[in-house]
Parts: sequence; C-alpha cells; structure tokens
Amino acid sequence: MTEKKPSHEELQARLERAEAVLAALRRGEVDMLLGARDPLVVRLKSLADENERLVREWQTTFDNVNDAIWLLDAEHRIQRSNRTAERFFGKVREEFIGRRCWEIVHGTQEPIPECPLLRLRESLRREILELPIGDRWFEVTVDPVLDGNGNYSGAVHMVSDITERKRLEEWRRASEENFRRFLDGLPLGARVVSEEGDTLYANRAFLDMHGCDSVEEFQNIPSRERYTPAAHTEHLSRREKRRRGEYVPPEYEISIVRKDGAIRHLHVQRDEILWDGKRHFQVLYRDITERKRMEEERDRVFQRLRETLGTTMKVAVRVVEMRDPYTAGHQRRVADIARAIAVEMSLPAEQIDGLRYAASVHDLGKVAVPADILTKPSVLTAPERALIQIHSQTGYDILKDIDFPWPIARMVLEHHERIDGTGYPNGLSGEKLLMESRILAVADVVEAMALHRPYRPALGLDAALQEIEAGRGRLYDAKVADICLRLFREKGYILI
Amino acid sequence: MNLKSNPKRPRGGAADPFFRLRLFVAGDEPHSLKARETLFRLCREHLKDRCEINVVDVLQDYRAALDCHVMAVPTLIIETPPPERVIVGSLSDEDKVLAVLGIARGKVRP
Repeated sequence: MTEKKPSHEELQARLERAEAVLAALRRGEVDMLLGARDPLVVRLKSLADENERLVREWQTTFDNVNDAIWLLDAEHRIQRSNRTAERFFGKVREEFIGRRCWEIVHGTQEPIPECPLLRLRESLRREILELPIGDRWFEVTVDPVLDGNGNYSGAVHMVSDITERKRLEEWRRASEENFRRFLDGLPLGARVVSEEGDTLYANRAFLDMHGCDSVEEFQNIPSRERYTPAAHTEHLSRREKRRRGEYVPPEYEISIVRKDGAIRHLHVQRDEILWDGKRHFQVLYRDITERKRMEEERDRVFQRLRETLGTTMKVAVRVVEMRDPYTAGHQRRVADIARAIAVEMSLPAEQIDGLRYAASVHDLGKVAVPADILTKPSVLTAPERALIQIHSQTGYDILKDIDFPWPIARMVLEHHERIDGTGYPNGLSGEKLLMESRILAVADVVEAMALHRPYRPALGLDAALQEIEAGRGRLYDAKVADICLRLFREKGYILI
Repeated sequence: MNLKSNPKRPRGGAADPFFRLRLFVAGDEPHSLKARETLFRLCREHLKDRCEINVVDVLQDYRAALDCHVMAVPTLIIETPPPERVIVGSLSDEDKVLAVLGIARGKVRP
C-alpha cells in the first residue's frame, strides 16, 4: 500500500508540532517521548531529579577515589577538595579552600622549582611529578582546565600515594640486579634470550665456551657455524617446534663449534624468566665435553675387557670340551634353549645376555673332574657321581671373582638345583634360586636327556619333555616348564 | 484511562463554542499530573460545562497517541472548535493555554 503524500498544510502542522515538542523538552516539561511508528517510548526523568542524582553521584565518586583531588583556579588556589585529601593531609575541607596547593603539600610560600603546575601553564598538558615526602612516595598529577577559548582557567591537582608501587619497582630492580650478578659469577654458561632468539645477556663463562669476547661477536656468528651439522639440524627442529607451540624438553644436549674450530659438548637447561619485566628465557650451559670423552673411553675399555673375557671363556670351554667330547656342543645348545625360553618369558634383553653367557660356560667346573669319569661308557658308581656333582661348585669357584655385569657364577652354581630343594650342591629351593638358574636347569635337563651320553644312549626328546612335564612345579619352575614344553611342542623348536 | 469531565454534552449558543479536548498523559509522571490538574482547573474556572475532556494514558493505550501523531506527553489536543491545535508540555504557561482556547483571563464568566 502506498502511503498518501502529505499536503503542505499537513507538513506545516507536523513541523509546528515538532517545534512544540522541542520547546517543551527545552522547558523540561516532558515525561515521555513516543516513537513515530513503534510502541517504543523513552521515559524522561525529571531533569531536576536527574541533575541532583548526577551531582550526588559525582560528589560520592569525587570523595571516595583513593587519590587526594583538588580543583584549582587559574592562580592555583584550591576551590574544591575531596574527602581523601582531608584524610591525606589531616585537615578539614575549609582549611584548604582558597589556599595554594604548595602551602599544603610542601609548607612553602612559593612553588618548589620542579612543581608540575609551573610546567602545566606552559604545556597545557598533563604533567606528573614523583616525589618523596617523609618515608613515603607520592605522585602529583596535574591536568589543565581550559575555558571556551582554550585559555588556562585552572587545574585538577591529584596526589596519589605510590609508596607500594615504588617499593615493588625497587625490589624488582634489586632482585634483577642480584640475579645478573649471580649469573655473572656463575661457573656455568648463562644466557638470557628473547622469544625470538635474540641474546639479551650472556655471562663470561658462556662467551668463553664459544671463544667469543662479547655478546655482539657471538651474535654475529651465524647459528649454522656455531653448531656441528647434526646439532644444527636439531637446533632448527627445536626452534620450529617452539614456533608451532609444541612441547620441547627443557633439558637437552648440543654440540657446538668454538670460534677456534674445537667441538664442545654442552648440556642445556632452558627456563622461562622475567627479565626487565618481560617474559624471556634463561638458558644454562654445562660443558660436558670431558665427561663425554671419559664415557667414550670407558665404553671402549669395557668393550675391550668384554672381548678379552669372551676369548678367555672360549678357551676354558674348549678345554672342557676337549676332555669330554660328549658334552661338546652341549653348552651351546643349552644356551640356545635357555635364551629361547627367556625370550618367550619376555625377560629384559640385558638379563637374557647374562643367561646366555652363564649357559655357555655352565659346565666349566668339569675341568676338575678326571677325564676317564667324564667319558666312562657305563653307569657311574656313587663315588664317581659325587665327583661329577662337584662341577657346579668348581665352576662357581672359578667364576666368582670375575667382575661380570651379571651373576654368572651363581647361575653356574645353581644349575643343578631343583625347586623342591632336592638338587645339588646346596639343596636350595623355590625363590632362593635365580630365575636364570631355574631356566638353565630346565634347558640342561632337556638337552642332556634328548641327546647321547657316554654312559647311555639318547633317550629322545619326547622322554626329555615328559620328564619336564612330570617334574613341573616340583623339580622345575612351573612357568619355565610350561614355556619350554610349548616351545618344543607348539612352536616347533628344534635341537640343533 | 478515558475520563470525561462532563459526559453530557450541554447545549450552547453560537457565541459559546463547545470544546472537545484530549489530553495525553503518562500515568502519574510529574508533568502529566500537573497538566491534568491545570487543565481540569482551567476548564472548571473558564468553560464550566462547555467542554468534554478525554484523558488518554499512553502507558495504557499508546496506539491512540500514535494515531493522533503525539510525539511527547503530556500533549493537549484541542479537537473542536476547529482548527485543531496542540499544546505540548505540562501546561505551566496558563495564559498561553487560555489564549489558545480563545479565552482571555478578563473574559471569565461568572
């Protein structure tokens, strides 16, 4: 529907009515305004009430701010004062009015030379002065009040007690200074870096590590030249991760190239700190080059010792096997079975290594048994068996003083023990036996029964496994026995 | 609220026109109360039974105010005799109100 165009008279009437509304608004005689089309109304409070309320609000605010406020005239005489100023200066309002601010603040007849009001007259902009009075600190802020022509007609004079802020600033400055001195004297390398990686501070020890004389010199060396190639790749990776906000461990090791080309290895610890009031990182560097070198040397010596020991043990095993050709290969096969059981049991790799070592020399003690007993092709007499049985103890005696990283001697000593205590040489039982010894016992029985012996033909693998099954939980550890049976019967383990 | 000060329309001569007045107010807001009080008093003193006052409270009936193009309250519309005239405000200037009604103070009828 098209709205009818209003006539000139109607427009004139509307205009007159609008003017009447404006006039009534100016007189403050309107309770409410109505929207032209919508039912929205704007309710007008009585202007007088509103004015009174505003004045009350302003006065309350003025009186209750934490700062002492005076309104000054053009001659710096106090015209108005808030309650805080009364408390601040211990005077009632009437004692302020008409007096100049410096009379109250400084007790002088003239403004002090650094008075911010003197500067304000010139600048016509906010001026601030911090000054100590007694044992407290104050901040005086003066703002100009300008008349309609932009001329100075007075000022708002505000005094704030900033003692606490000053103390905190002083404390922060002192603690940062202490921290800097602490870093200066630290034997560790110390550096403060920004989030962007700029070096803000580096102590002497850090510069010495890099062979530099100053932070500027250090900064001028490209990072590619400061690290070894591998360490530089890691450095870039850490930087990228930090940029993406991903986790980077706070401690790591780096390898640097000194200015003179020498490579040093450093342990790095990086922590977030506040420095000059901003969030930065403190990075501590410990030179571990010497430690690394000693570790490498130690590893080399250890490896050589192992090799020497290994050769010695091989010689000993060969001596035994030369005297007892029937057991030649027995120790190697027992070692294989024992290792397979230990792997199935998920023993730690280190423990399995020890077990293999022990298994491969478990009959070492037979060097002390007369060769004719070892190779006797008939059933042994009781005294002969007794002589054979001392080989566990003899093996132990030979090995016990050698410093292996594993309890090799004990495994050798216990490989003929049984968990019900019916074994030899000590009749130990159950938990008193090492797990490795229990595995070694089962592997030894299986291999011995399955294959040929000088005093009897081979009984066969089935008979060997039946023996293990029959002794499971009594003579042999139940778990070890089960795994051994499963290895041969289900997993197709073959004796070679 | 729709109040008539005199529901019966009295007969009058050609020299004594009949006034139909409509006063828009906002509840008991101060200016509205004052306008209502002033109008009733002036009518009682000067027009006796020659007027009908229709008071419309915009808080109850804003539609009537919009229909009459009222933009602010209180507003008095003198509907008859023509031409229609409008006074906005609390009617504090009583001489002006009387002048718009065509009544001079001296012409008060006994």
